[in-house]
Amino acid sequence: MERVGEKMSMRTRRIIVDVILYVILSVLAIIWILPIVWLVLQSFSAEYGGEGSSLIPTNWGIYSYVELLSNRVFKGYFPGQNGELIPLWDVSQYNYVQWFLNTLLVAVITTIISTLLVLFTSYAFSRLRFKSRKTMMKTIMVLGMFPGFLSMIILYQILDLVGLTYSLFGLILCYVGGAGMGYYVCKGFFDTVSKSIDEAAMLDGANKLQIFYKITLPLAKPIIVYTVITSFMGPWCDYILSSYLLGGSILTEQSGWTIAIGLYDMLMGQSTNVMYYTQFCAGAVLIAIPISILFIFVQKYYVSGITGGSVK
Amino acid sequence: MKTIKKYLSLIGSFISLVLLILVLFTENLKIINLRSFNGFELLFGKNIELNSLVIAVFTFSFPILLFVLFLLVSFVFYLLAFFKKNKHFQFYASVFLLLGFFNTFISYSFVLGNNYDELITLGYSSYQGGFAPVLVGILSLLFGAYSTVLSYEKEIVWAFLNFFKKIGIKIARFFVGIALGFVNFFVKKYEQFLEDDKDGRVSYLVMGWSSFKNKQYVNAVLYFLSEIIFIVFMIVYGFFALGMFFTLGDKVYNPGGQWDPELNDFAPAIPGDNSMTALLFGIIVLLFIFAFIYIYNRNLNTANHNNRLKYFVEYSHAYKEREVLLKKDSQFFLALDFDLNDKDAKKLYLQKRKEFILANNFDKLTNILISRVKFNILIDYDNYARKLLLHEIKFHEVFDKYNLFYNRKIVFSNAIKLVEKHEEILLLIKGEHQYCLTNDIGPDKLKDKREQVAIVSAYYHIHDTTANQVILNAQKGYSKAEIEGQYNEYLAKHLGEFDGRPKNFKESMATLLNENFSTTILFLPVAMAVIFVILPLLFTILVAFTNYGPGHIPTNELFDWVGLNNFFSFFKSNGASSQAKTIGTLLVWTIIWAFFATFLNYILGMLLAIIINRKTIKWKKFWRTMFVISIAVPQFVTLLIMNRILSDNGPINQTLIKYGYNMIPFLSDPFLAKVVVILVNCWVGVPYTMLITSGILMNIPADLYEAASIDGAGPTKQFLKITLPYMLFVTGPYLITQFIGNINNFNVIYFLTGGGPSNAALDHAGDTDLLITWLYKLTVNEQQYSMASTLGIFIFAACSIISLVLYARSGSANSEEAFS
Repeated sequence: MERVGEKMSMRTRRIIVDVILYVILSVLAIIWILPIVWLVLQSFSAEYGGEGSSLIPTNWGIYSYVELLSNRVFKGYFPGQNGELIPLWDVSQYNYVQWFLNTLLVAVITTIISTLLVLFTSYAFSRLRFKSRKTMMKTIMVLGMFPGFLSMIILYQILDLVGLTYSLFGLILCYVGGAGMGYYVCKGFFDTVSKSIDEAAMLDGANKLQIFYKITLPLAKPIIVYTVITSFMGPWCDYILSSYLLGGSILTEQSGWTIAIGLYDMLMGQSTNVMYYTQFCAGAVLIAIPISILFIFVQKYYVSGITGGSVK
Repeated sequence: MKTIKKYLSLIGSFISLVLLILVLFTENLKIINLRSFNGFELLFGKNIELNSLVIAVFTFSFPILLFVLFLLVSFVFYLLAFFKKNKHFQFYASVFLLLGFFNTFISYSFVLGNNYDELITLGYSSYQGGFAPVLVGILSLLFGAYSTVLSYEKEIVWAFLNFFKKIGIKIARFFVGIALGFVNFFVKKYEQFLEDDKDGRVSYLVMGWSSFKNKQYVNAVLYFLSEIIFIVFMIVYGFFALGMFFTLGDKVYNPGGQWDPELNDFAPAIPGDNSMTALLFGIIVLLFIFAFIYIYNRNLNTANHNNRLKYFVEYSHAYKEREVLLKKDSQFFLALDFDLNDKDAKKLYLQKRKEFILANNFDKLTNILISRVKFNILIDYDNYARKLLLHEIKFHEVFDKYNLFYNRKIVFSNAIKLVEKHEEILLLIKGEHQYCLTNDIGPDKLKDKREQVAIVSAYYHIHDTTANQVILNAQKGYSKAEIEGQYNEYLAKHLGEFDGRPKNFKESMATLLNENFSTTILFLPVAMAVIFVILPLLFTILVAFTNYGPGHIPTNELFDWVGLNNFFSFFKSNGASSQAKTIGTLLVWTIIWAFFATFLNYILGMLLAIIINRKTIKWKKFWRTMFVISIAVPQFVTLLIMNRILSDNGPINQTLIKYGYNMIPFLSDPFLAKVVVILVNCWVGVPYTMLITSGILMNIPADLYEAASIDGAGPTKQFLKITLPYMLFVTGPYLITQFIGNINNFNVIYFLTGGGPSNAALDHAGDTDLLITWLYKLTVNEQQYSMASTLGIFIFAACSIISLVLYARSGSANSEEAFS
């Protein structure tokens, strides 16, 4: 009898704890999801110039998406012949579709190149032993502590010398330039992969290159996925470097912008922030979609990659 | 518990450091000025005008009340410690005592310092400003720390002092090492020159001569060409660029426009020198010179190597005698049957080893290589011997080309050594399997190969690699004869590689896929990093020594070298919004920010991960996704959205006003803005931490928890004794990088507050500006490039000191090879 009672009390205690935890989790989840829900709601708002003063829009519609993708902007209601109000659109000063394509191009090329560079560097530091290995690792660690964007000014100058300012190619070069230096997580992952397979392959007469792409790379799938995601998200979401290299303040060059510059200008620009507010939200939702899809599909790899790599 | 204590002391000392800095800059911080304290409006919905007398009473009584409170808590813990005979309670008691002292000191200096004017109006004119409370505070802090340490553990003090000693030695060693490196380089070149034959010596003047003589024609042509190109380049452009680099241009831009009677026209604008490009090309030429020095050095090394190879022809036959030599060496080691921890024995070992190598010059190479075979055994045996061997190997790096062969050889010999035992090992594995089954430990444990390797290697006291190889062979079903057959076949195939002939171009190109694969694979990353990271970095550092800034902006104006002026001007305080004061204020805030941003994220993320990982919680994937979604939206978007939501006329405040409440100045009140920035950063960062920690949490061996729960440990105890120490050990380096990253965290501040609310007392900076965002403003908005570079160097110095200090303490940073 006593044991049953004990069991019961244990069980009730567990249930109480669980309920409390569920409540905590729900509250936290709401806090985390709320701004994003708000963003999505605003993007479906049909209140022009509402500037998001209320939490839930009163009028709904997908106008902001349509306008955004067709380069139009709402001008206002004008009285028609019969006295009814006719909505009128103007040509937008922004070109979102072009930005999207620009950013996609930059992000994809950067991802390919910098993933390769990261894999090369981390493989070399993890698996190969050479004379200046430790020195190079230490140097990279020290270099990483210097506030990076100070060198933006001079990067701009260098690109100017070769005529690559205001060009997406120059931007790609800047993104890719220091990519190999972010090798830590990847190296940590390679360190945990057993070396015995390499040795076995060496017995069979494979050279180091073959070991790299035939043995190590297939084993490193999680970390490759992780590297791809991180190096895609860098240029996809970057504002500082791209705005410095491409931004200028000349609106006529805005077809060469990336999404981040454009969206920032939509919201924080001098004269436009009210008119384009819902378009900004729509644009933000659209750029979040590729990353979300990527995440949903590869979350498992991402987690195992980052934990495999960062436990060192 | 030991780890927790360690980290507690670490965190404690860090907090005390932060608080100390905070107090030293108390004049700037104005956190608790009761007159302008917005908290009342927050709490009561309207601003309460405070009576001066109330302020005075509050000022004096508040810290004392707090202190009494802490003292009481501490006393309770002491009582508990006394009656329960528990050391931990004693520890908590001391912590609370210390906190009490901290608090008195902080609140006194803050409250008194910030309400000084009020006190003067009340007649406390004899009060001497902010200095006295600070002094009192420091004294109480020292006393508190001292009493804590005394009542708890003395060794912490010694650990602390020792740590600084070690850091000092490390820094000294670093500089001495650089100096010695330079000297050694020239000494080594001189020795090489003496050792070289005629061809080698000619190579010092005519690059590639030795290669030419040794039939490495392509190499020879490349060396010679690079020499010619370098000389021509330097004559045509290099010296000119270097001259420009040192003067940074002296021809000033002439805008023209005045009447020129000779031309009978208005004078045209004459372009001047461009200091920017002068500096840039100067650096490029310097890098070019360094590259040439590297090639020149390579040329000398090739010559030396070719020369040496002539004497090493005999070694191609040495491998045939390997069995004999192996025996000889093992006899030697057997003869040296002593404890390597013994100092005299070490000396003897060194001496004997030297004799052994010197006496048998023919065996020099072979011995080193054999010691590499022995290396696997010695590595676990004695750290000193390991160092010694490493030294030997390093000394003979010139023979690295043979390493691959010997790596293979090690694998083979290990395989042979243990192939006899492989039946036994299989039995062992099977036995372990049986054991698992009967004891219900979980057979999945066996599927993990690493587990097996660990068992086998522990059982036979051998290296992991060897155990791995044996298991592999056992799985493949090789017999001893087969492995020996493979071995001999391999030797026969590769023996010809070591004929003592210098490699021709084709052969040395082939090594790029094997021995020198690191060169191949690192070429692209390094080249990119030099152009896009190191070159701009050098430029930025050099800019700190110029006056590049307003009034000196190319291309129409020149800038010039100014030496260390920029560094000094940081410490000059001139006027109300001096840069010195701004730096002080921002530095304090940056450190507070980095601390909270790092540890709050870490702890919250870990708690979240623990909750979600709890066995009884359902829909784990759903919960995780809810938090991970915020990663998918780009940071700048969420931050701008947050800025909108929290702004003075954003939806939250609109709603508040609609229902008759006062608005809350989330981003326009200095103190509140700081809190909001930290909290929003949690919103951004916690999902990442959750992802990382949930993975690691799953890796904690479950039997640890089982054992703990059998011992009767509750969930809190399990967390403190198992989870936290494990996590701290594993994620130590991650925390350090996070901390540094937060010092340089740009996005959150820039997008959320833009540094605001603006503060007239600071130089172009707002209240939430970090050093890094201020730097951005200085460069992009104010064009004060040289100042920004100087500040960048300061930040860099601070970051490297912090990470040096923390890295030296973290255990896992030093055990790089632990998993391999």
